[in-house]
Amino acid sequence: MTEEISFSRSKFLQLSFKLVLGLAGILGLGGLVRYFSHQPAGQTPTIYDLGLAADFPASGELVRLDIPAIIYKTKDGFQAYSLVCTHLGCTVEEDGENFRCPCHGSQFDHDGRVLKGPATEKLPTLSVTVSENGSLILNTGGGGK
Amino acid sequence: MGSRLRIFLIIPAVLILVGGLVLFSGTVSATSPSQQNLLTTPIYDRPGPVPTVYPPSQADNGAQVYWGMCQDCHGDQGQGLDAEWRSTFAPVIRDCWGSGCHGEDAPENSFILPEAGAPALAVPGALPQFSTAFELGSYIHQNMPFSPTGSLTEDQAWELTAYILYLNHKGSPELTLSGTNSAAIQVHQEVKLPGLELPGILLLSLFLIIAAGYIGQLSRQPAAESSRGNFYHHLHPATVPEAQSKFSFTLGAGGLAVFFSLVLLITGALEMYYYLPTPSGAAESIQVLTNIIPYGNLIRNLHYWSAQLLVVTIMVHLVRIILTGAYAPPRRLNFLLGLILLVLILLLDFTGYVLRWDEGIRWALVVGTNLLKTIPGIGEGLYRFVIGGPEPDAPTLIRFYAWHIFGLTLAVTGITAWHIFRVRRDGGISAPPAVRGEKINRIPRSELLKKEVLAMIIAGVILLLLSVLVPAPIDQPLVENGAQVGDSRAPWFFLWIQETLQYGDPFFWGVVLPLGAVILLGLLPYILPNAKKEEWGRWLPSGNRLGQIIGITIIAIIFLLTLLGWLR
Repeated sequence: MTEEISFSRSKFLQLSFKLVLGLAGILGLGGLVRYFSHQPAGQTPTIYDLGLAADFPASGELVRLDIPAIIYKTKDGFQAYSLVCTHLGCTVEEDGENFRCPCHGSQFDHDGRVLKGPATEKLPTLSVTVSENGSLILNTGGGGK
Repeated sequence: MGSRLRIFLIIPAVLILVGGLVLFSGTVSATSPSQQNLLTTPIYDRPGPVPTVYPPSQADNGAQVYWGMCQDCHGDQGQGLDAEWRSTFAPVIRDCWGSGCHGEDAPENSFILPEAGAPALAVPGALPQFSTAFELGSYIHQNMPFSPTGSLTEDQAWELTAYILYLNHKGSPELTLSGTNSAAIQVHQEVKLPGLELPGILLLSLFLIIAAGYIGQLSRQPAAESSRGNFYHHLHPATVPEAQSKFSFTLGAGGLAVFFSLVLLITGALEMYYYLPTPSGAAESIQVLTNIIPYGNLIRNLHYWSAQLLVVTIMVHLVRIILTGAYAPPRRLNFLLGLILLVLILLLDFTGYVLRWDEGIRWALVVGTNLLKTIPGIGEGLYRFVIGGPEPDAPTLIRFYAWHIFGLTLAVTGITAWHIFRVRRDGGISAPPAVRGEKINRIPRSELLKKEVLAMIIAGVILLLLSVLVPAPIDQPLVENGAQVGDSRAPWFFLWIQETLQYGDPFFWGVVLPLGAVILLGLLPYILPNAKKEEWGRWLPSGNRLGQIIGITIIAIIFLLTLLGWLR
């Protein structure tokens, strides 16, 4: 009789021990998640001043690898494409008239359309405007690097 | 027996759990209490002084200083010396340069104001050259007001910094800016404080309870399975002589040293995720860890305090070994291993201390490394090897970092394992030898475990209390030519060397003497009579009396010198 009682008591203790252990573990893990959840502030710039529109290279083409983007001067004005491969983010290289991604071989034509995969989307078009004082302003719209 | 152990674990576990829950819920509702005050800080009209608010926040005090010293040039809203602001001036002085006040023809008691005027402080894009509040505050302290430069006290500089952050809607009334936290605050970003820090008790509950639970689990394994392998069972044989497990004999020092080492490994690994080992980033990243990261402060304090307690525990352990003559053969080798661990752990403490890379470590680093130079012959080479160049710089930091987290840690981990492995090999902790015909009292593994867990929990609670109540030291980031700012005192575990260095030749007093003391300790079991076997397992045996006197004299001198340096 006494044996039976002590058995259930020890079972109960064992269970509560496991329960407390589990709960403490979950709370502690919550603390760890909180510790690692810190997100450093800051963001990549989205607006770039490219200099005076009048000083645009005579070749009609400007590559800015820091953005990275390519800007063309056409009859209708300025046009810009992001050089970030839409596949996994490498910077594409000029390959004659086209662009080629050195990482996985995606190819894009002069207007950013996909010629060859694995990329499936065209290179994003970026907005270029001329400001009041004649500077070229490129806006990546937050879709940069 | 097993269920008793569990009762004994459940009680503290429940307490910690409940305490943690209460504190955890506290975080969620913790909003800034003095926000109200800050928002009602009045925006004043120019002629009148700033009305005071009570209790004033740091930014409120800054508003007073600003009104008195800054606003004539920088504008009442931080808009800078623009035409609109000048239009509020009396007509004769509206043109600062042309009116004979601050132009080329400025009178002697005035000053020439640059053509550009005073920059705006609180318009979009203002203060582009500053990244952290520390940079802004240091600049203000050194360069403002424009004339006479440098007339601000350090407190005023921080008050103004807080007020400028407030004008830019970036400040936090909960944080009183100073050199030791402002590097964590970005001028151009919203301040996000982690809220209440105390729920970090939860984190400790994780360490304590999982460790206890794990050990408990191990102790329940059937004996058959355990007869082979397992390092835990090597250290915890099925039964041990009761004499080897008495706190009054062991002081629990060896086991606690292992416990503190484990806490150091865990908290150190966590710190590594946020620490930046670069001269410009190190102190800043520690300020971020301390002020911004949830539980960061607690983890840093736990790391700091377990390191300090480890040194104390090791010294207690050493005193115990000497005063019980426990280093007699066959334990001579293990005694040497222990002394090597002591030296390595002091080096770990020192390298960890230097990793702060703030004004507090400037002179300790210079003195500690210059001591190496005094060693004849190899000194210069050793110096360059340690600091990685002709003078302390980025390579020094990265080398100390590598030694701290890798080289020394690896060595200490390996030798610690060897050290505790040897304990069992040498027949367990030194104990009275078996007497023919008498039965030795033995206790089962679970009893030993219970004692260990008890010691661990007590040590854990002390560690946690220290960590919550006493913050680890921190100073402002290293600045160029900051010679007067630095703390010239050695870290406490090297205060005794700092004391002896005052007596003369640095090579003798700073290198030969401390090393000689350690070597002399190491030689005790080899050159002096040892405790006789029948004296083992008790305090102050007569066999190694001379060894006790020499050993304790050395340790007492170190202790006294440390105390002297501490009181200085």
